[in-house]
Amino acid sequence: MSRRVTTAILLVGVAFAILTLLFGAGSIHLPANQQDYEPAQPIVFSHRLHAGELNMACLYCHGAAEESRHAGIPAASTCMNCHRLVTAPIASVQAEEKLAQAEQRPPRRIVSPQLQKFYDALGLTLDEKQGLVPVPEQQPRPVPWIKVYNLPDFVYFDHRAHVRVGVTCQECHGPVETMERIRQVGDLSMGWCVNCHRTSNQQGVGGTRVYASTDCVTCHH
Amino acid sequence: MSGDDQKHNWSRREFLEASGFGLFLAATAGCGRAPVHNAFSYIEQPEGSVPGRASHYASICGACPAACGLLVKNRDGRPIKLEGNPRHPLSQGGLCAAGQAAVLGLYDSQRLAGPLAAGKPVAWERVDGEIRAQLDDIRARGGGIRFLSESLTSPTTRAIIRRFLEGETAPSDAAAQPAKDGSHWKGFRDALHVVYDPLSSSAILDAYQQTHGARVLPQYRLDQADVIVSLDADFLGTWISPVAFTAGYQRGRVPEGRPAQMSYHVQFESRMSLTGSNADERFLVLPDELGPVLRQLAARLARNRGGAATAIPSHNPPVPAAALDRLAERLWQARGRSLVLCGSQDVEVQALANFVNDLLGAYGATILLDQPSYARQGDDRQLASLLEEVRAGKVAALFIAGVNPLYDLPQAAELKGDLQRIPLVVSFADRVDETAALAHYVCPASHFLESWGDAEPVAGVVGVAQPALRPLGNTRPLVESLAAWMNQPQTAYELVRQHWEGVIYPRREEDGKDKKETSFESFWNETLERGYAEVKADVPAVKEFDRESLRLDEKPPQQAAGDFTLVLYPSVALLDGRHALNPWLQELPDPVTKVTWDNYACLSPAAASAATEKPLAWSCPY
Repeated sequence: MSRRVTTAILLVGVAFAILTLLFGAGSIHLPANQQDYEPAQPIVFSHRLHAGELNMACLYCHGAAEESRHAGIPAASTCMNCHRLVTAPIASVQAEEKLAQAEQRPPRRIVSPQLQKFYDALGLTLDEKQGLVPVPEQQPRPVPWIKVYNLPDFVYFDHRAHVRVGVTCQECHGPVETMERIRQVGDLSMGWCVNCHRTSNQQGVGGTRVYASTDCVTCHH
Repeated sequence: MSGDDQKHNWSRREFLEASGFGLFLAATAGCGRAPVHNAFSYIEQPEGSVPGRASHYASICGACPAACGLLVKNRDGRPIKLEGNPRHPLSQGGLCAAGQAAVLGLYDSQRLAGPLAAGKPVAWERVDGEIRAQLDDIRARGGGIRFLSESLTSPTTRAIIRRFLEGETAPSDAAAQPAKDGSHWKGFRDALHVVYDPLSSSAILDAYQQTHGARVLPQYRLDQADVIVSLDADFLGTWISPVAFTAGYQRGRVPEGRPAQMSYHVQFESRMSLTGSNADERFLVLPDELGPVLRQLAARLARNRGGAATAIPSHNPPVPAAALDRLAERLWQARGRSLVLCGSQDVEVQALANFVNDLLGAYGATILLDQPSYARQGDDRQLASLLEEVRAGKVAALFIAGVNPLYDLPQAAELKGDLQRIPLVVSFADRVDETAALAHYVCPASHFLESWGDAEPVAGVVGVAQPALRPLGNTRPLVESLAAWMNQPQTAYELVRQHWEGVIYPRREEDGKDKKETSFESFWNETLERGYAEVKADVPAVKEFDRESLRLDEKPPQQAAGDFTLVLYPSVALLDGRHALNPWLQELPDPVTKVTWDNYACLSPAAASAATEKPLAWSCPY
């Protein structure tokens, strides 16, 4: 390979690197750093609607955060507490009612396309008279949600200690109540964890003094 | 590249530049996302369960017939760790290597996911239909049905096998629901359940048949013994029920306890075993010298008791006479609190051990015959006659559960040909092992962690094994298969519960104080919670020791053909080899030789030097 060709290739590489840095500075990250990961979920579930607009408590669905390492993804039965009855957004229900009134017929029950996916997974179908009824011979399947916050296997994180001491969910997970789709806010690096532990030791959490260990075995055991 | 450019040699600098550039590109490309991880949630969250928090279930280990008590740690619907149940009266919180590793066996990808017919995966309905048709055919034409299994400690399984072979005869069968057409299962005219243990204790049972008139394996209470003499019985490692024996042994050796307790343990053995390495005194003897040692001991003890001392001829004491005198004196001083264990496969030697134990008053004290152990029920003579029948072509159908005769038994090649001539061979193996490869149908039984079951390792101590997860494949517990072929399809849960309600529950001992009647429901629930229940032992009466049955005339010592005696022994991790495919056990070093992942022959350094005809460079560290 002649020196000229080598130089040319190197120049192209440098140009590529500069361009990537210029245009993608925000999204450049080291391997295994999943910051800003925002995968499309199998069912479009809006945290903005549930946690923001409807102002539901985080722990209503992720109650395990208080008593387990994992915050957990709510069981389908938890969703069904409301969605047994709520099958579509209020706006489309009202629109249907208005239309029915205009056409002088009883309003139909409508199901939003996203909730339809959920009912399909659970093996439920909407009956005009009886509401949601199980489809015979169909086993309910869990929804294959895509995990956003993923820690490597050598890190042990426990939600309990954080929730009990009063660290808000938003502290680590960002303004979830404004997110249509969950995005990983922090980079989940060790420095990110340890810095917060250090500041908490100095400033406390919500005005209370806390002790957040910075010992290696706290997370790596 | 220009034509005058010669073959370009890379300079060190250029090479580093290029590799640095390559690394940079690789790093940029490597900034892609990690693989997608799915997170599944419950459809309906069971009450009290929290994702990520482990729960523990009390169960029964099925890794060997010792059936120790288990605590199964279960997280998010998957068992992840097995530990001993500290409240279990036999294992007392212990669990052996094979039990610890059984959880890995559960996730073994080589386990069969469903039934096979002629080696091809098929549906259960087809297997059931074809086997039922063949059984009807055998019943019409006549022909022997043989059920070959290991020692089964599960009372339900034993009852179902008996019902399958003999029809509904026992009162407990009344609970069985009739077939769909209302008929009852009739069984077969010529049917037999043959039990053998790859690690056989058949000689002990035969000896008790001879001396006590009942084929039982007694329960040895090492915790009650002050002097323990073991003749080649590796009771802390592999012999019968090592976990229970270890627990008992430990209880008798607490020098700092109050009151201080320290049993005296003497081991006669021909290799260094885990038990021998714990002994207070250890004598190296050849395997065929166990008889003479026992004879010597019996002669001394009988002299102490007065009487038939001279009637026990013995020559060539393999150990110093003074040591035997001392030992006999110790045993005699501790009579009623001493125990002689013998691992020999020779019925006469075992009968001699029974005689010594009788002289020492061990029966009813350190050896319980009224609460015998069910951990070994194998009968080697029955097995031999079965093999004879198979050779003669008298067996029409052979069912094989829990054993792998082509692997366990000698002369496998010959046996293979014989087995191939049987018209119907059904295996319940969980994988295609040597025997299952020959079977016409393989009906994989579920792992003990995925199905309901029960166990009675010692008469009177019963336990329920509860499933810790849904079956990973389309396997079926043995009892469900048999029930399906009897036209009485029921789940293992129903079968176990029925048997418990009909047979085990009436055996419960009422609380002496308030005579409170417990309902079956609460009895069952308490057993599930605790993992075991203690009920009355349901065993035939055993006669007193029969002195006349003993033949004390010594056989002339057999002429040994070579210089070496081969001693085959089970290793602590792999036992009889049934768990040989479990990597955790292969990776476990042998407690004495420290060898991992290997098969080896142990020689004394002197013998090894002689064999290599040069002095060995290494020295034995022990």
